[in-house]
Amino acid sequence: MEENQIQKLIDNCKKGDTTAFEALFIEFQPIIFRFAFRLLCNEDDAKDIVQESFIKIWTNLDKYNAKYRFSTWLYKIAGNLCYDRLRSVKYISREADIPATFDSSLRAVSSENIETNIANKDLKRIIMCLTNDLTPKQKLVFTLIDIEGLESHEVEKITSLSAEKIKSNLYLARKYMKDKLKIII
Amino acid sequence: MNNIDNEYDKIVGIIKNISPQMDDPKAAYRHILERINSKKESRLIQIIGIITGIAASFLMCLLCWNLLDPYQLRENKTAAVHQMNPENFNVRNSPNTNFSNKNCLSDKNSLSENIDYVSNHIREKQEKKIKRAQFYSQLSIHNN
Repeated sequence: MEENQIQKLIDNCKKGDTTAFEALFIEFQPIIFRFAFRLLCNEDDAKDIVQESFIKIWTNLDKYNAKYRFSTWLYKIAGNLCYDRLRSVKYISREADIPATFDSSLRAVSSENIETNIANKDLKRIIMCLTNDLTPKQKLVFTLIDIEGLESHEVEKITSLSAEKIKSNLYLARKYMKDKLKIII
Repeated sequence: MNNIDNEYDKIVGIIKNISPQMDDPKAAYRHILERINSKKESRLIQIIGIITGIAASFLMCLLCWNLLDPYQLRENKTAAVHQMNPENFNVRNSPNTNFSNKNCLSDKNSLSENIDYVSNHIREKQEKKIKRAQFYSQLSIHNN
């Protein structure tokens, strides 16, 4: 969907048009869900993030600055919600409950049959295995740049971090994950 | 090191390629709408509550204004100031005077009359006091 089409939908949403809001939801829901799932590694939590994000979008549409891309604003809202959830003590304990089968799944992934289909569960295990001990900030920066493929200036706006901090967080995240791979392979 | 970099790139590539999807987006949308509507309702209730509160406090103010009419209060104050004067403590009980709050409160237009009444009363009292002093001084001279 082009930016001017999105802007039209936003304008209609501001007038209280729920069909325009539904169109926005259909367009952007997969992006938010994917992003939240990759960060939280939990389907229910990702669903919650989608719901909370879209409620925030509906209630704060007046605050949206059309100077930036709508997806950037979406990432910012969802990113903040995920970051808060990652920081919560409850979430850390839930992560710790995951059975210790990460190494085997990672070995399977890093073997020669790497291109085989992997189910969501395996994806969850891989991400958790790699990013389990990363700080929420490192996890957020890694997901936004390396997985979502966003530009660093966009990540600056989403995370409100300086370019230097983004670089250092990404460097540390990559280093940690490569060290982990070194042990397994 | 190169090997590790390759493995890392492969894994990141796999994570990128797999895009998890929500199982029932329509249900999720319905749930969002419900939550938005319930938020609207709760906001409406909040606004109604605020308006009711303001109206209630305004009515209370009006009621107090009517009960404690400032004009009436001024008259009461005049009477109170008069009564606070130590010389006038026994005004009510004095057989010579028929001063009471009633005189002050009975008619709003009689403020000036009341003030005259009070000043006359004070004058009378002062005269009485002088007479009493003279009487006591004569008594003391007589005793001596």
